[in-house]
Amino acid sequence: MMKRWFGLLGLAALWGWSAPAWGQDEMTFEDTGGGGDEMTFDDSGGGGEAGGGLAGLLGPAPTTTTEEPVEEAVIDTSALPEPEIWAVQQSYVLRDGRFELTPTYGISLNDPFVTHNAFGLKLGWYITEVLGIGASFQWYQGLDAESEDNFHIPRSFRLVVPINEYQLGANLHFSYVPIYGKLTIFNEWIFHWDCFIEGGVGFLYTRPIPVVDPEVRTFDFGIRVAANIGIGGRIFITKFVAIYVQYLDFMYMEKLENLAIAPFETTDRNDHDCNDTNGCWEQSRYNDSTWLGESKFTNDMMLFVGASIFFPFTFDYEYPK
Amino acid sequence: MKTKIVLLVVLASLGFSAAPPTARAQEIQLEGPLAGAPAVRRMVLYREGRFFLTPTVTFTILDTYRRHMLFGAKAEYNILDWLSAGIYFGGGFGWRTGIADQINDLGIDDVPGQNYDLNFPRRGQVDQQLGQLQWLGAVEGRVIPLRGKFSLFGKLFLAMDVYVNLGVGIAGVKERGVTDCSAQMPGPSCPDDTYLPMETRVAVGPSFGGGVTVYFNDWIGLNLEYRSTPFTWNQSGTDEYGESEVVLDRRIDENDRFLAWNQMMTIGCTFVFPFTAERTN
Repeated sequence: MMKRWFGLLGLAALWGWSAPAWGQDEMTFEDTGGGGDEMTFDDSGGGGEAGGGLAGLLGPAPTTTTEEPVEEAVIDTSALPEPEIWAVQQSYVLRDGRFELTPTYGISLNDPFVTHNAFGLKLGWYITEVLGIGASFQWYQGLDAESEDNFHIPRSFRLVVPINEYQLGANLHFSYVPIYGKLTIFNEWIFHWDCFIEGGVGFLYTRPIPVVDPEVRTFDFGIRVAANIGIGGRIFITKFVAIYVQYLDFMYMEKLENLAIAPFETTDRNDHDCNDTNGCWEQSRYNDSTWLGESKFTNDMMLFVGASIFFPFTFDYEYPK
Repeated sequence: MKTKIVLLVVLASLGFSAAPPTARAQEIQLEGPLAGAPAVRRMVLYREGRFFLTPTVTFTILDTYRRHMLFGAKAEYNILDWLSAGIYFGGGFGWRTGIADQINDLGIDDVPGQNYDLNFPRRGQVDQQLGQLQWLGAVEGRVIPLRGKFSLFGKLFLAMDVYVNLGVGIAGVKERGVTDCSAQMPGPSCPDDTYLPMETRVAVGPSFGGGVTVYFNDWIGLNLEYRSTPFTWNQSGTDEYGESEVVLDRRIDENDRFLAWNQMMTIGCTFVFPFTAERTN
């Protein structure tokens, strides 16, 4: 009987004898005031020097062993406390069910003749942690800036480039957040960031700026249906405020000014005789139906910067830290 | 009693002045095995003391007349994990933008009554006057303030860093040669139907930008970089300045150069030597 007890104790001691730690090379343990998705605390390899097994919890065991074979010990672990450190800890920011309000400032990147600037506002709502829907509005009118190319190119090459003015835009978006990470600044401060892709549909309210026959032509704004696709990122300053950067490409058919000027000068809408002195209304430069030329597929690539505000400001984690 | 009060006030004042200023560091209240632990343990030092070699492909962006693609490489030595110095060189070719194509297709020949103009090329000859970027080099320092990691689709975890760079850029540009038509008539320096040979020169300007490096393991990574190297050059090959920007002198020379930002995006594959990175404690 005594020998059996010694055998059991010996087994317990062997259990507690720690194997060499095979910790992952890049094992990290970072306290960031909130944890992160990828924050890891890996104790792979069967425990460390302090005894990674259960013996430490069961108390010290005698080191003496007997040669008598022993029965396999079955230890009930249900009474042991839950581990306090999770392999994947809490995300710093939860998005699920929260709204995101983002004032933005945008600038076009790919039009060398007119730079479109815009103030915008975007409201989003996250259906899950990674999927969201949203709507955005941009105001452009009065903020466009024509470049010097509009002066040099016509002068040098007699080439008039039709340009357009934007008044406003409104869009619906779907968002997906595939990338989430954290960065340290000089290994001192840690902040979290994410990257999202976005796509949707909306419209731009645009009109041509008359450059071919500006004395006569004036244009009204019109709706251009636009698909949008882009990529963006957020750098979280707090759990509800983030710096926001986004590249968004609006793709639509733009109506351009006609490069040709109708030959006749008549202002009489009822003049249909093209053989008289003033010509006919159908071919008059005053006839607004001659002012628009071809529609051209246009990419309006915009860079937006802003600040995201998530609300409600606070949220509860499903599991404790 | 009075002395005691005075003494008390003096001591209190001393104590107040000796009190530490407002705490700036975040107080991390940790207990147990985490107390006193470093922010990042066994951090991989991807950069410190290591040499980066990055074959690159560079695309110029926001060009008016000609886009360029440069093939080259970057080499840099990382003095610290957050500081490095290096060089970049790329050479390549260019092609016309849509506007340049339109100019090329039109030509002065299409203008009634005219068959020659100093600025407007004959049809199909615009390439003989548009500026070209032949090669670009840079010597630069790089600060890497941000490093960390990210998850992709919650499955793939990769390390990354973000840097900014600043240095001196040197560019080999090919421009329209000096063409003098100020005498208002064709002559040796003002050809009426042929172009003078393009001239090459070296332009110098600052070079700055920033980028991201994503590390797949200790010795290989993906690099994405934005760079701008502003300098003046005549990209259109036209007379743009004389007495003023409005009154031209019919002479194409260095006065017709404009400052261009020369922005570009670079993508590269970074190889790191030695292959194994050190770890912090």
